[in-house]
Amino acid sequence: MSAAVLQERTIGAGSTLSLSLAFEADVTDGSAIHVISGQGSNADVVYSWSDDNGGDYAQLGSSTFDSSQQQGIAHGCALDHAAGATTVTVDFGEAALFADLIVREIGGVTSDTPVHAESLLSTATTTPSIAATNTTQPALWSAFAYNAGYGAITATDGTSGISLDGNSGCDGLTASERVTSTGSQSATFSGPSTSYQLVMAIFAEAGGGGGATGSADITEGADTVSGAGASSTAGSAAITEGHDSVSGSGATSTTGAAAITEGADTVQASGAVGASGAASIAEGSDSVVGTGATSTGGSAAITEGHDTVDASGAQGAVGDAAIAEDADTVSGSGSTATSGSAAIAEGHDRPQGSGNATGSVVPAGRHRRRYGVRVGERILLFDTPAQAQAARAALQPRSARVPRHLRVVPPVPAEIIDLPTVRALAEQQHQLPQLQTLESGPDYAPLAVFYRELQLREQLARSTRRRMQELAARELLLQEREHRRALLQQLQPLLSLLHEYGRSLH
Amino acid sequence: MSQTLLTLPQQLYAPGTYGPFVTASLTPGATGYRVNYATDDSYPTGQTEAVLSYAVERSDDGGATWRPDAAVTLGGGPWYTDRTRSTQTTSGQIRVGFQRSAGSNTLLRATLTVYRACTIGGTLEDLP
Repeated sequence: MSAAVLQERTIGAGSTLSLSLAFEADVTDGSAIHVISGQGSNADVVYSWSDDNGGDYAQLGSSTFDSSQQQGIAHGCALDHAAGATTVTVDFGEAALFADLIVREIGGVTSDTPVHAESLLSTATTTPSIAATNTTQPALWSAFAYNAGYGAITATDGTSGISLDGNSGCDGLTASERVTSTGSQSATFSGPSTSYQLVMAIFAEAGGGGGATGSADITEGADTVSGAGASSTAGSAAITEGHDSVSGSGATSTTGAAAITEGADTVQASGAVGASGAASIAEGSDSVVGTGATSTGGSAAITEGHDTVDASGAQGAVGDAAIAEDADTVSGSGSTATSGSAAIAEGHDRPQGSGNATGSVVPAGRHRRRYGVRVGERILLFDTPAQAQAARAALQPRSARVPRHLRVVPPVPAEIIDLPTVRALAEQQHQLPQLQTLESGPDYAPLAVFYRELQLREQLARSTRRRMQELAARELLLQEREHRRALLQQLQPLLSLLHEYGRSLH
Repeated sequence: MSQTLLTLPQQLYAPGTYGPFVTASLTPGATGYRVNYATDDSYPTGQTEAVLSYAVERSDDGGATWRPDAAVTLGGGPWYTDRTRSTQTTSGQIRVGFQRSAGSNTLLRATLTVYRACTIGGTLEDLP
């Protein structure tokens, strides 16, 4: 229940030893009762409140007494009151003149003694005001203004309560307001220009949060908020999300546990985290449904549903690193642990991306290394050392061979080099000294390369010769064609005469 | 407009209890009531001594059930007309406000308890 004034009443009399006033309804269990009393006898009057239902009253602050107007005021309260019919009595100890009693039941408040204030404004004013400072919220302030002149009072702050039509010509008015902030709370009234006496008490609402120690509970309904997060310095933190339209509740616990439960969210965010140096993450408009958990110590768990994630990120331990990804459809869950264990289990993903890594990788095929074994005037080249070793084993003298059942089938060489052919080519290309050097080398790989070069040169020379022959033949043909054209030009006048002679015969 | 609900004749009352005196029905919507009382010069003096008390009960069901409403204990005189005590008086008032205004079956009943013999009398009227 929110703090509120549940009921209130007033009574005034000309000259009394005591005044009693009953609440018209039973008091609610746990309520506070705020009592305000005035009297016109003297400043030494002692105010004493009691009731017939076990109320334990204490005066709040000191009483005030306006000697120019011969009127004083005091207030007090009983906390955590028992339920039931209650009649409150104020006893002045003497026949107090112009006595008053105001009783207010304040429900939904704690049993903490309220912060309070008492004020005597002896200089005439039309806007009397009083203030007190609360350190917890929500809270409810209850105030009363008592004027020394005739005329109605209205409340500028809060809600007006009940009016007091005093016997002495004094008028009074109660006011109250539930506040949800801490700090100075003021109650201002408006009335005739005269002197005023005011009192104020601020009661802490029961069940309110904001405590430095103790516990806090938050329960929220379906909201449209944003964000969800849980962090725990020690202990555990867990977030579980269902489907919502972003809403949330947050919980943070320095020690102990914190839990957040959220409904379906639509989240768009950008963030950057860097231990040292700089890191940046830029995300586009994403539709992310998920949960996250971070734990410095203890455990962290993330459980995600089917997400659609479009993101790019970069992370580098030392130096620079960049990752650029296209729009992917990623579904899964992940976990990270600085120490301890970490497990990632992902569902069906379609990652697409590009990346660089330090080190060197040489594509196979272009300069493949071969391993040679010489057999007489031939060199057998194999792709692997094991194949070459097997070939050497097969060439061992019979006595050194392994038993039949341990023999392996000799591998097929990838290439065979015929040394007489190589020598012929080397001689033709004036490369015999180099060939002799390579023949005495520790392996035959360079010899194989040299042979390939000789072959390439020979192929080039052969194709060059063929091309030269083709060019020479084409030149001869062109010369013959030119000779015929010149001969035809020389015969052209003679042919013209023969043509004229033929026409004359007809 | 006020309505007089009960009249207590002004006379000398010996110590004892008088009543209860049940009023007529209050005006529906009445916001409270007022007791006008009067005495004479024989009224006891002595600021700390209780002379009489006047207790009022309320019924909202025509008198079937009653709840305490208010009570006043008067001490000895003198009484004054104003806070500055410039003028003494032999009359006074008690004003009581309701939280819940009177209904059509609201009644009051008053009981006078006299501790010290005194002359007293008065009326009880509701407040609009």
